[in-house]
Amino acid sequence: MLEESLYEHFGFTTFRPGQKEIIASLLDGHNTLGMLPTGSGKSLCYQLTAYLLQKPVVIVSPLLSLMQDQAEQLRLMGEKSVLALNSFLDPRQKRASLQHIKKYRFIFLSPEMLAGESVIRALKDLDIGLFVIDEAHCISQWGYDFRPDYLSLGHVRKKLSNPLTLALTATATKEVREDIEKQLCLDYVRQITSSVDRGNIALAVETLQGHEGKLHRLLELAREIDGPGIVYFSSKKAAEHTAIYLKEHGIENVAFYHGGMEQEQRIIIQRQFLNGQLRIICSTSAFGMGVNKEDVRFVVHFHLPSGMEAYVQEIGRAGRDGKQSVAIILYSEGDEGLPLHLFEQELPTEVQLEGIFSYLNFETVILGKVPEAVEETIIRQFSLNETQWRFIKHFIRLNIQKYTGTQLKDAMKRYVAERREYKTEKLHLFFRWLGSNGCLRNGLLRYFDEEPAPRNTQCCTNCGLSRGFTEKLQVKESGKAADSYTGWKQELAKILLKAEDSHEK
Amino acid sequence: MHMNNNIREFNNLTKVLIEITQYVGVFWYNRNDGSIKLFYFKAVISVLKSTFLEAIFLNCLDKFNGERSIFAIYHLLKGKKSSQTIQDAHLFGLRKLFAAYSAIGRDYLDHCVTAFLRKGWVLPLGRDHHYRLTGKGKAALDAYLKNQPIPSSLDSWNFNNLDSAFWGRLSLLVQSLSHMIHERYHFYPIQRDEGIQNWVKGFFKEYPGSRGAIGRSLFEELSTLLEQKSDIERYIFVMRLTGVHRIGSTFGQISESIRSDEVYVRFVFWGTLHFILKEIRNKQENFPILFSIIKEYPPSADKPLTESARLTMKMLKEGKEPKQIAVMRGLKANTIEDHIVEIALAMPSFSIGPFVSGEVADKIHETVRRAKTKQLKIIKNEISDPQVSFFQIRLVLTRAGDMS
Repeated sequence: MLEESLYEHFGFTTFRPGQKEIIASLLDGHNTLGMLPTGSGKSLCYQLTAYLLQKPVVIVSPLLSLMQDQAEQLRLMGEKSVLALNSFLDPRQKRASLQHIKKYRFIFLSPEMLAGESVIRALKDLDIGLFVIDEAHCISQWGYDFRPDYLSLGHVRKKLSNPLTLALTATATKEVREDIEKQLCLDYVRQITSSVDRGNIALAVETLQGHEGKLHRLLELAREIDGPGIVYFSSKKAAEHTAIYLKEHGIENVAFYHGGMEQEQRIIIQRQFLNGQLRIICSTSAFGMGVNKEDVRFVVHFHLPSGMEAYVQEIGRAGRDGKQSVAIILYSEGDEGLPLHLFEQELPTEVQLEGIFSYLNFETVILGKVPEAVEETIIRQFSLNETQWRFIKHFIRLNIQKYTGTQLKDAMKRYVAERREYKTEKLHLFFRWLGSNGCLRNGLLRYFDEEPAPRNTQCCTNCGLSRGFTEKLQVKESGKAADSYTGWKQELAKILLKAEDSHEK
Repeated sequence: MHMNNNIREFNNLTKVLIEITQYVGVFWYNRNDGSIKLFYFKAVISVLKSTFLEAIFLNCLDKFNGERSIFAIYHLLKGKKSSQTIQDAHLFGLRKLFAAYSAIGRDYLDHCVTAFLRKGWVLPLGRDHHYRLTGKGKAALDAYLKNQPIPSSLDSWNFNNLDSAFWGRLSLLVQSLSHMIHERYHFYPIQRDEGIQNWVKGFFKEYPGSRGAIGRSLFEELSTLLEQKSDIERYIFVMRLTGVHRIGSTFGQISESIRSDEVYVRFVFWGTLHFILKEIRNKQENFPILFSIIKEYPPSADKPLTESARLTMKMLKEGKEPKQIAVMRGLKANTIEDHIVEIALAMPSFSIGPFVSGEVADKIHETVRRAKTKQLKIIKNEISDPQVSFFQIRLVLTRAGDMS
């Protein structure tokens, strides 16, 4: 029985929705696409399968930090044979890891590692039990977080003689799911999807007057709600300034977090939050992936998320313990500009494309030999960002056999226009949802082509949330506030000596 | 209510600072409408830029004494591995600050120097970007350093690189020990680097004694060292550590808790680490656990040396002459000389004898003392012996100690 194995390996007695179905489907030998909401234990699906198959599992993960988090969690459970292959390993470490690759049960890889021949060769030697693509929506051009280097995964799968495959995602519309199958060249796939709805998260959209109004409301919320929370911002500066604002107004245990901080300081903030030393994190979207904190009671969007999918991902960090939590969007007029602007920057404009195509020699792009100096010139001259340039290179590499010269240019322009139109439409759907009077939960479900959910007691601001409801959100424990500091030697003793020893000091 | 001027407006505002005991009031003067607003802040540091960094800049300007441009300060703090920067660090007695603050931004430096100029703390000299400290500037510097002195043990020249490697291992070792002693075997490591994690695993395999005993010994080792430090140094160091009962603090959190400047906290912390490193290297047998953290690092291994200078050193060891090396490598003789000076600075044991005789060296020493300058041109003129080259003067200066 699967439950027995679950208990044996993880100590749980029951599966969460979808987990068992996915594992059973894999054990029957079916390629499987699993869509489980954020925070519902997606990784357990491949972890338990790995133990049952007794064969190595290869997991492709888009983000270094996510990969590290997952590897860490496995090690925390006592699993020793975990390998995380990423571009941060120096060549010596990488060679050594590849040499001993057979030792490992869980092999995490970033997609760019799969571009290397030595990695593929090492993987070919393995009897891969399961090939996992985490955050599989990244492979789809329609997904909200498209990563061109994911596009080569279908090809890689073939090279590895089509191992049993599990594609995992938290948020994918029907179109995206179909695209995942196609791009991964999966002939027959079982789709196991559970609803994106998280019933224990109340959905709130509040309209406020400008930046100041939002700050006031946030301060109120921080005072009212007694539990841990995450506040999302679209800029590092805003996250920093607001954390300071909250502190100055008497909110304790607040910190900011963003990608511009040194790695060590970032890890500290994350760990402090997990440990209950910090209550509120003001952050950019860099925070949260892989942060396994059960009792996050509220997620606030101070700025709009980049779309519905990102919204669902980000609010999914609340209430993993199943207890009542709340997600609040603080909206003020004109806020739509920001996600629109961000998405504009994802793709090159027509003008940029024209310029680049008159400049570039395609043969060098396909061969992947654009000299660095040329690359820099192009990026600077046409003011491209990294995402845009990566996209262009990949597009050319993938389509060069189909088209030549101007044909290729036109194809790319068509593609960009199409994608832009599609994304704009999606964003407008999101904006419409934001301003609608109907049930927000059902609106969200409709966006993902799902049936309406049964009525919730604390559903959304449009259905009406009970007054003072945020004050009643339960807190597991009052957090582990750090003991007060009594002196350096006492502190050092607390760390390094057992209680009975430290009394002598 | 106060912060409604959001970031965009920040640039239109001029700020004036008044300090009233622990509270600080800031006047915001809005050029657009001429309004003035006064805000009070309890914690200064979170809003205002570092003042300690200004002190560091003033200190460098003072030491360079107009003989170098402000970019030399930038390169020095960044720790640029160029012959010029390395030699500057030695020549002007600024070794302790070499690579001491790599987060430095050019804009911020520029901004500060402009402010110094406005306040009459520096005097612009004939050459672009060259300044000398005025009497007023010197007084300001003294006032800064009286409050927050540059930690005397700070030695970024000698311990740059080694310090962060040491800290990575020590912090994870302490965290692991703390948890194991308290029978907690599962925890999220505070250091993510696999190299560091593997080192800690290896340590527990090799080091004899029970976990409890290791904990007690490490407690004693650290206590012995920290006894010799000031309260603030001890506080900062201990608060950075992670144990079973709490995750260590960030620099920002510590600076808030003691209402001090974050950059200052960083400097004090690294100064304490450098003190520890120096002590455990000198008295290895007294600090077996701490020393085991760095035992594989040879004392001079992390001295900053450019790759090119390293190659020159190798060729010198093979018995080649500087001129030969220049020809073989297709470099100018000057460049090879730069390398030799760099090597002489990095390696105290490197003999300059083959390049400058004892007699000439004495002559140069004598002149430097008399002329009280480090400007090569002046020294060369004073010596008035065409046989003595700039190269030789520079080499001798490397052996003149930290000439501050």
